[in-house]
Amino acid sequence: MTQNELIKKLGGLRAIEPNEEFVRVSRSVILSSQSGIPIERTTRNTIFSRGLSFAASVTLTAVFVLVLALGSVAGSLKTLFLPTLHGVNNEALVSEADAVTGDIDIRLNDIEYFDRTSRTVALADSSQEGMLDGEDEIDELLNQVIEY
Amino acid sequence: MLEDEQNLIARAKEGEAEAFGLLYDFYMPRIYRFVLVKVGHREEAEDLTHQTFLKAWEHIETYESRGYPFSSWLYSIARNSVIDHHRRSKPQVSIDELGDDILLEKETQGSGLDAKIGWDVMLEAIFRLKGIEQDVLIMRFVDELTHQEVAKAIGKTEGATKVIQHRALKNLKKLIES
Repeated sequence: MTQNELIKKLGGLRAIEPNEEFVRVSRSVILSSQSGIPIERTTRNTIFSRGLSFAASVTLTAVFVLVLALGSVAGSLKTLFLPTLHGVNNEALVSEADAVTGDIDIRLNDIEYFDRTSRTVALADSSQEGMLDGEDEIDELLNQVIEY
Repeated sequence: MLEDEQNLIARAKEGEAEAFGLLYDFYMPRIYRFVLVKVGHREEAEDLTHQTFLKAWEHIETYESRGYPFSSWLYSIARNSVIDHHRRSKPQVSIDELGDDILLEKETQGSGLDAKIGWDVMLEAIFRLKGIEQDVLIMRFVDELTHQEVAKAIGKTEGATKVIQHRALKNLKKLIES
């Protein structure tokens, strides 16, 4: 083997290429750190664990966004479909609600009436009791006068 | 050299991540190849390459371009990372794994099984070279750096680099033939 053949053979080592996944992760780890600031010693395991933690954060964020999206979609569907539910007579519902309201009003009026009348009766009773007490007192005073 | 490199470096020094990202895109595969051929293990090469660029981004404010190419600066950081790595742990070379990587790429270009046998021998021979000889050969003939860039990265003169290159090729040839 001549020296030129040897040199040519050495040139064949240029075919070696780094793993694409490694290059991508390593590059992002290096560039995400700030220049001029000492960086912790990083090994292959930590490079890939950082990649995994990044993937986990992305997944969690995606799940969160999905939940939010589902919530808003469900809300929109509720407002869209509820007024058009089949088998529900809106007019009957309104008249039934009016009847219930009227019934409640009547009962409230009754309560108010009973309350008012009971107060009046109570006042009348108390005034009669006062009158009776006064007559007894007068009788007692008259008896005392007679005794003198 | 990357087009408009000086402007990108100036913007990166101001803390602009996007500019450093473009420098990363251009140099990352080169640095990765350099590290992988030296450590012979894909995951370790990824770690060391990542750390090289992390350090570069962290210290980019300290980089002075006067007579010192950015590529050389990156390669010197990578070299130091590999040296530290070898100090911490025994070198574990998986030639088969690396050979498979190269074979996979080569097969798409029309090479056959003979190519893999050749790569196994070649890679084993490279691993047996001295660290600095590996550095010079990879930088010069794999990543196609100039003598000046290699010299700056390894902290030698251009003349010394040429001598190391000559010796490295001779030793590599001897190892392959043996």
